[in-house]
Amino acid sequence: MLFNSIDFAIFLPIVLILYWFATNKNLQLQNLLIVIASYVFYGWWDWRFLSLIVFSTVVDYSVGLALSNQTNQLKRKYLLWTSILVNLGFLGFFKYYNFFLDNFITAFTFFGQDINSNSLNIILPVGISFYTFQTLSYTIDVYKRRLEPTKDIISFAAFVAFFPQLVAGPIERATNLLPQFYNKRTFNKSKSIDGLRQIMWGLFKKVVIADNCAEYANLIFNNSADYSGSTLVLGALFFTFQIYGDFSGYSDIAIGTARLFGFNLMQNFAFPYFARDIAEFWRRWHISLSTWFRDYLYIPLGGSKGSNQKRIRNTFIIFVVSGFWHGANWTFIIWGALNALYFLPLLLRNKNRKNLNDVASGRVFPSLNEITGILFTFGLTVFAWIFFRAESIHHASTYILEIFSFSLFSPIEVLPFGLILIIIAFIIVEWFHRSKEYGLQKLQLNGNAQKIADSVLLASVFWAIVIWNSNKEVEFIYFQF
Amino acid sequence: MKRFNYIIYILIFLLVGEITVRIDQHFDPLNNNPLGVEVKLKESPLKQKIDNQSFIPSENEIRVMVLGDSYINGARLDSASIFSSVLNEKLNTNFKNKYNIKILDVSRPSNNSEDNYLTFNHYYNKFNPNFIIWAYHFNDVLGGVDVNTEQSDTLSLSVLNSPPKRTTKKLSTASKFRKKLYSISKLSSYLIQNLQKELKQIGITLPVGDFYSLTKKLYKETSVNWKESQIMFDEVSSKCKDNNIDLIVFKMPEFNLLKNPKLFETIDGSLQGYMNTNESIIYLDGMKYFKEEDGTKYQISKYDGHPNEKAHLKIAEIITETIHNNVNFE
Repeated sequence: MLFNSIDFAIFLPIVLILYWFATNKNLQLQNLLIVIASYVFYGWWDWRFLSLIVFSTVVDYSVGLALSNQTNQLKRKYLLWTSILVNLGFLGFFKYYNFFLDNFITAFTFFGQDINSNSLNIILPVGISFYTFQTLSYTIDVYKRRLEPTKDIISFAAFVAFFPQLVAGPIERATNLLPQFYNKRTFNKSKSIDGLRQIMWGLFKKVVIADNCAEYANLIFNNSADYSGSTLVLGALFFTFQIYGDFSGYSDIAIGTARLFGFNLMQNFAFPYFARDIAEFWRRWHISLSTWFRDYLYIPLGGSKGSNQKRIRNTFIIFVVSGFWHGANWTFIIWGALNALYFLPLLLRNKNRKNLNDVASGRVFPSLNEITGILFTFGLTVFAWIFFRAESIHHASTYILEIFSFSLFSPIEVLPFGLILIIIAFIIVEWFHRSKEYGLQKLQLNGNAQKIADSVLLASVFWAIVIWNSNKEVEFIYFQF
Repeated sequence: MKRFNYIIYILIFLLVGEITVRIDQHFDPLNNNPLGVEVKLKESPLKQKIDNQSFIPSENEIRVMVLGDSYINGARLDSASIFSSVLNEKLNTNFKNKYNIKILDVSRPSNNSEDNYLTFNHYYNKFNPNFIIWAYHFNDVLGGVDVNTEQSDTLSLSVLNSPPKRTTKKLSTASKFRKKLYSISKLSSYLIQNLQKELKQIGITLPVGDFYSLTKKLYKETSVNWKESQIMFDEVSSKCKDNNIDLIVFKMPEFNLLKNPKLFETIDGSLQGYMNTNESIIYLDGMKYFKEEDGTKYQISKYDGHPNEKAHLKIAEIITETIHNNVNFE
């Protein structure tokens, strides 16, 4: 079920009431309720794919236990590879089978050989890219002895299937989330209020910003041949805010919902569009995925140590794989490779860790240098998003060529002023909260005037969600991953 | 002090809501509010000929007149996809080389029964149709129906081309209070209307507003509106019978509420009951053709009962079949 749906609005209070009133006294019951609720949540999409999650849970739980009893290094490796093959096997089959088949056929056709084959009509299980990585992090950490394997199947099943973050992240590490299932959660009023605020902000980002931007992004991208370069730039900008609102909005709802149950999930987005360089952008965008790839792929490959050739190779691998993770299309691979090209100059000049603090820290306005950095980084990101959104490389190419034609100076044909004003207001709110976890987190308030300002802001966000939602139950973009 | 603070917060909450609703209604920043449609008859070469009194019916023709409101008019749809265009195409295919097809679409957005009745009276003699398709919509009884058969025949075209005038009805105390509240607070009318919209989706009606009146009161035997509608049906069907015109009344469903037929039980019962007594009318209950279907296929949006292109196509197919089965002239 979608977070922005009536079904979820009914589901969540029921689960919360049962959680805090019916099972509050018993840890096992609390965890069991989470497992059941999570399976119901996931099964709402398609009950058949529950078997995948259950199978993945059983395999990785068993592998974890076996690893703890195994001292033979070779056998430990076999166990680890069992988990990797099962998880990545599912992911590879459901997500990439048709992609590889189609490209295989295309390659043979190129050489004059026709191959008859049938693409399978494979439905992509929702969230498979997320929960497989989550369970993999468990077996890898157990293998590397960073984590003691759990003997509690219920806690482990709850960790794998935890519904707030099951279908679109954040991809939690077992070292962070699993131990939280070992201790009984007690109700904390301020934590719950904070959770509700974050849910509200996530909903605002999704139904007001993302879904309304989506209407124009889709209109422009789907009819790009009919629009001028200036309009295509606007289309790319709308998609830039659509994907941010959609994905970070989901993360906010997930994190806020988890907080209602007494859990702390990791921050997944830290105001990435205020980044001053591309390295900072990647430290702030989809943090759970980028750190996953850093820890489980980049560092084992050698990371940024070694020769420049190795550093370049590792950087390309990580970004291309990250792009490929997003979807079975060459456009995602190009998107990843483009980001690698953006990143490499900073890495090779050892300037990739220059901007570690928050932009304009302790000030209201950024400096001229910071503004330049932000705008330049934003421009690079918007350009790369064109590939992410386009249907094919050809579509992306024609889109970009039209942008960089004389029609770039033509009047914009699609100009929704109201939406643009709302986006500007949204950016301003996010700016003033850039040192916080999310855009509506309570600022330190002194005096009645600031309390009233906070109330006005909360009320404005609430009513914007009610009145300015796009009136459709639009799926989150990342559900296709 | 704490209680005072809560009151302030609630007032802020309501005030911000009121301001946001007013901004939305005044500026429509996100183009969420539906565009208005022009309330006038469609112009066509055929209609112009009829209005200029230069139209002469010929023998090898099937002439079809279409009456109704925005539902059959196809407001905001592509003109090639609306009912009258598709019907023209289907009849031309069906009766290829046998008859010339002439479709006079005199439906108009916001028409009620009185408007359709007046339109019929204005055009039936001039056009001399073989078939009349009266696309009946359940809200056609609204709007201050006032039948005056003596005046109707001499009604001028300019009246039919201007937005219909509605007689004001006497309001109950509750309605007066609601009207006053809505004039003071746009937020309250917004919330109640949207609550109505959402509740309708799950088959519940709040006891306020036109939809409640229509589904619970206005189709009862004691309702003046319904009685007057029946008088008009009687007169129209009688004239049709005298002039050898087949009158087909097609009841339009609410396409976004196909899964909630129970909402319309009283209306359906009254309509069917009347049609059973009037053998001159070929009555087609549209709900019967769509009830097993997935409503999302035929609706414009979740909150809009208007039919989309697919629904217009299906209705045209139904009417084509009916006409085909009732063509009984050489």
